[in-house]
Amino acid sequence: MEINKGEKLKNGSEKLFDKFRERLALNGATALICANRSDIAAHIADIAAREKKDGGRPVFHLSAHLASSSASSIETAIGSIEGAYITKSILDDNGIYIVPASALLIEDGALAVDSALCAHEETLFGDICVLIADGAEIYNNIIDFFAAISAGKSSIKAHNITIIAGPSKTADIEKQIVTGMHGPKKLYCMVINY
Amino acid sequence: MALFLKDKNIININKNAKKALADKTLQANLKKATAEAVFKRNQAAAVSETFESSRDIAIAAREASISMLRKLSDEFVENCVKNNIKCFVFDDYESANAKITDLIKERGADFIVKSKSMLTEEIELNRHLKLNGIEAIETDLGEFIVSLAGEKPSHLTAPALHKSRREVARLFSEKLDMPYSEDPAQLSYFARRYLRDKFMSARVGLTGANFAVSDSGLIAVIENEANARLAINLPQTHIAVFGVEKIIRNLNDLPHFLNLLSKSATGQLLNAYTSIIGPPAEGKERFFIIVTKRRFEIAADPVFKEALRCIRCGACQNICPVFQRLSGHGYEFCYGGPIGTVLAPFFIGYQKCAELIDASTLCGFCKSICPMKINLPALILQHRFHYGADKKIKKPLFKHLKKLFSYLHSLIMSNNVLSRVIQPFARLYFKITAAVFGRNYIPRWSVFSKRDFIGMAPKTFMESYFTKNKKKSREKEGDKNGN
Repeated sequence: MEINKGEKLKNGSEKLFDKFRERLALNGATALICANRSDIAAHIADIAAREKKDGGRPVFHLSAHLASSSASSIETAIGSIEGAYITKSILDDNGIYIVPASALLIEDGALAVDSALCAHEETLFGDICVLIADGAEIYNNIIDFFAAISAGKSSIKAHNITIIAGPSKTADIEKQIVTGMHGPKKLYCMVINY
Repeated sequence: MALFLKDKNIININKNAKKALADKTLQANLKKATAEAVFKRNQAAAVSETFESSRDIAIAAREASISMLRKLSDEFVENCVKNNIKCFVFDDYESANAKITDLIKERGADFIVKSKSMLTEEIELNRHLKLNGIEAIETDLGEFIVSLAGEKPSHLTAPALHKSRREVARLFSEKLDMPYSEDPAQLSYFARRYLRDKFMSARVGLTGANFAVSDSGLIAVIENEANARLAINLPQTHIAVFGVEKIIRNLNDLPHFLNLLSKSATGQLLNAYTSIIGPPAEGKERFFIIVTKRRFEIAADPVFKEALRCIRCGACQNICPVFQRLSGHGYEFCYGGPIGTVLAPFFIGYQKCAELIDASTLCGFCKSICPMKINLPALILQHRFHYGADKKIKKPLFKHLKKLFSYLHSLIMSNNVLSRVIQPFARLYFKITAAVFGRNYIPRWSVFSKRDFIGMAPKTFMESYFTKNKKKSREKEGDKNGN
């Protein structure tokens, strides 16, 4: 089953999202669906609260290329969190980076990020990376995704693709998985569906 | 005999095997790591809807690209130029190393940040850079660990597979002054902090490439840690080094390879990061160094071209009963395990591989798990045939003795009269050795054959058969008389 760019995850397509959530979880990340603006606020507050638990004020970095519809909701949500602030500078190891995802690959539990819309550092730095899929293209799998790119049916250019499937991780010491080896320790995907 | 086995011109598999088997920690590490890798690979393949179909498509795609490798290589270079990427093709290691060294020196760098690349192991880049005053800082955690230990990687995708957490803890404590901890998370984060400074100040980043796409002049780099992305995107200059066999035809073929590699290598649906690398960003520069050494020759070989299908996932290593005990280091070649045994004679010659090509049980596990369905046991067997048949290859004494023994054995066993004459003497011999040594002892047999002689049955099959039948017919006769 395929759904088109930006189509809402309703009328039977919820099953796709369930599969995506399940597969993304296998890759060590969390998928969240936002059916309205208050959902965004609730999820952002939840992530910030977890971050705060680790100490310090939650710092957010918002990518300049976030879709305006979700960016304003996210800014409002952050504004309502006590102590939280937004910075435009790209920090090193701290903070929550919120960046746009351009495509969802359902069966692979992965997201494609367009480097034309998001600096590489934005998905490499910070403790937490939140990918916002707002009007993202949706594909069954990586095979369909590349077929669309080859056929010029995707808005993403091949040389701008970074596919992200989970947080940075290593299992080089006794096969024990440690997240956050060189990149973010946690990865969230928020699918905006309103 | 010992003189021949110690010959530096031979990879000492027997000696290495004895050493590896005596190391209990190594055996425990290998057993745990390889078993888990196979389990995860099977799980990921079972979950995937497209794994099996991708296998067939990728094999066909690779076969097609191998058959026109020179053409694809030229096309790839042309497209790289269009992408503002400077491309260099070298047939020998020395020239490739010299070019990379020049590129680094021209940029005034005395160190580079480097992500895992097996080709750089093959060309021994780090050693060459060191000789030229350039430090290659390995940033993949596994590579970082083995480079600190002064070792080579022991696995295609898990370089420090042979090391326990205790060994890593000792290493970090001694070499990096880290407070002693055996916690993998603490060890990893310490390495992260140590390496982040290097990333931020590096002028040159060097990576490998998992695949190169001919029709668009792009490469794909797959990883989990994000160190390759940092090495590609933070420094001013990016150099990617890879073998010409990595070139595939087009973007439609690519996802099938990505699909297979992630599942077969690390048991993941997809690796955490898949980067498609093309034109450099404004103000930055990118170089591709392509090594062709022996690859076109292998591609033209009707039998061994199959070996170029390999996507370096390491699955054959994980499942191989020999690798599981010997470890990658035991192979003394950058590519260990079954695929290494197939490739080694091409790169280091048959002479050195006299023992290596025997280091396989030919059980076929590797063939079954290989995502590209490479018939590795058949290729290893082909090497053995070639090695035995080629009179130009200077063979060690034990090979000649083994051949002589096999010849005499087949001569006796295929001749009814000879075997009947010899058998009673042989039985008597083994009866005596069993009484004296407690086993079927033949001096030096284990050196030639790598296992004890199985001995001889007290009676031949025919003798047993007739004795049994005689007994039965006597019993029957007795019954009849009794009745």
